[in-house]
Amino acid sequence: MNIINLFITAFRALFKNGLRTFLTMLGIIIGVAAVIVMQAIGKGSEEDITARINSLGSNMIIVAPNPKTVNGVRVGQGGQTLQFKDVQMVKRYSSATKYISPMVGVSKQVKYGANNWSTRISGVLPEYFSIREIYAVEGVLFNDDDLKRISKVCLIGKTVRTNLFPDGASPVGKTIRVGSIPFKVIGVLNEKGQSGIGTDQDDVILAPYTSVQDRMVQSIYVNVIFASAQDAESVKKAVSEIKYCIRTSHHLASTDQDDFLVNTLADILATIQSVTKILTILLASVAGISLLVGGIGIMNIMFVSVTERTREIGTRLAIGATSFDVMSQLLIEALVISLVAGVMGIIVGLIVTSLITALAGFRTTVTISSILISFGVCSVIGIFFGWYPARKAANLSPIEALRYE
Amino acid sequence: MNTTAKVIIEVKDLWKTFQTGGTTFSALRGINLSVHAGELLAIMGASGSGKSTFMNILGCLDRPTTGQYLFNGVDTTPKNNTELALVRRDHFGFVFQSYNLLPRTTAFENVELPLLYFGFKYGISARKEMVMAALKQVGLEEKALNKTNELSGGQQQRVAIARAIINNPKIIFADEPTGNLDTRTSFDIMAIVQGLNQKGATVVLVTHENDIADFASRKVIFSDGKVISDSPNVHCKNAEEERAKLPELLEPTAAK
Repeated sequence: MNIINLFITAFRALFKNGLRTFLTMLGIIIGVAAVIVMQAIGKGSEEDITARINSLGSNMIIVAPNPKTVNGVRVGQGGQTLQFKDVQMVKRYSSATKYISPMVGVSKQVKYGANNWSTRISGVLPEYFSIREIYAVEGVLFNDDDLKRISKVCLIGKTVRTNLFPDGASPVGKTIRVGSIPFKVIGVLNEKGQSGIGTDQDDVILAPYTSVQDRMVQSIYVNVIFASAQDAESVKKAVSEIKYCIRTSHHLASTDQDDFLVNTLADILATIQSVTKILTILLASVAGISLLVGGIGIMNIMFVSVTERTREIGTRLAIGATSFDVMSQLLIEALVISLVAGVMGIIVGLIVTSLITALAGFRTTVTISSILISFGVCSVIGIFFGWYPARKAANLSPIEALRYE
Repeated sequence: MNTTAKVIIEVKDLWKTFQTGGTTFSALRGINLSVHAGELLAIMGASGSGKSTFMNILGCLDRPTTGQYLFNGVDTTPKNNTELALVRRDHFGFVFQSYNLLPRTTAFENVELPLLYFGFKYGISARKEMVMAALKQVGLEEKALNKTNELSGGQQQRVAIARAIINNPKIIFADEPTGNLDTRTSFDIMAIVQGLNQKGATVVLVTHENDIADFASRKVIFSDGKVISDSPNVHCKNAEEERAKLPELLEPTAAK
């Protein structure tokens, strides 16, 4: 039988049992759709998290204190080792570092009129705006003059704004109380949304470093140092220069451990991406199992079909079909079932994916590879699960097949 | 019997042995037989006499345990399954007692089926022409697009005959072709078979009914796997004439 007639015969046979064929296909349709949807959700969330982390600032380097071990006892997290002089040292000697800013902060109750809100006020240098890609959507940012004059000015994030100014009036020019100290709001920060680790980046008040340090914290230590490298390539170099500078500034001997930690966004990104990759693989495997179950469904139905059509196969053999003809016919039937179901599964998968994005607001990304893979898997399933029943049919003796009741 | 015609089937010392539940049973015990081209051979015998087993071997649907079967002068015993399938496709036509039409397909599709196994040899229009010609020979051209379950038993058997002759076979094997039919319809079918035989086809007919065997040109009787009688049928009847003699009473039930 030629290939055209084989396909025509396969389609006819499948149409004759329309409902059964559709039910068989359902397993594959659900499997393929599940693979595509799960993969799209996994990939989408990975991209989402990557974008959120990148929103923290590109090429960003974070230096945090890590108190050294004293006689085997570590002083513990939150210890203070970083000082403003470390920042000056890096500024002077590190060529790969573009911007650097310390951050010193304290949690305070802030008030404006009858409204009050608990948040954190952080003192930073104007370089911090470049590191974090911050700009003012209303008003202006503070500058070096404000720093020198230890001005009581501040910038507020969107969350602080909504809580202190619920009527929507412009906060610029208004004076708010941070703790007991009045600060004049000179600008509103651009929206940053949630960070990759779930903190609200808009629940902040930024003020000149000197103002917070001198007026509120009154300590020589800073909480954390932010820096950014010249470009993505020089991040590594900047990290080693920063380490060297701070070690020198802290007078550490070559045998001493670092009393600080240097992290880059790339490190954090890599960690989170590996987690989301595992998640994607997990989701896809679960979906893959349903595809496998669908394939077993095809095998089951093909067996039923072979048994049910034993006499038909006998007749075909009698009128001149070879074993190869019979085998190809059944294999192509299995292949047609799985491929048609595969195409339908891809369509269903795409529809469900766009529904999820439209209704649940999840970010989803359908990749061409997931479509190609599930289509390929369908063909393999068709051939693999169609093979055994087809062989069984092809090996039937014409006489036994004709006599089959 | 036309003894000058070419020998188309030659069987030499044919044995067929079955192993069932530890016991050995010989369905055929050393058959020797020749069939000439153009014969209408009736193989008769009681149930279990080996007549169907014999026909299956002649039709290359089964293999003998020992012995030789020469079709058209060529030994078929060493052929593999695919080669046997091609012999069936190119030279044989089969008519079965239970018609063996494909369910839920039209008469046209059933008759067309053997042509599909010739690869690209017959195009769509050639196939259509051949199928309609075959259906016309059995008088069913207007039923071409009817599903097989919409046809009567006699009509189904005629579709099966059309399917058997579509490849212009050298031999038509008919295994109890009238076994499921009433007398009048049986005679109709035999009239078609006789017509095909007169046009040159060799027919091997297995039957246990004397009425039907009377339409053959030669009768071979099997008993216990052996040929006990082999004689030309000098009083060969004409199926069309015999049908005309049937009482009118049977008319309403003719179409079973």
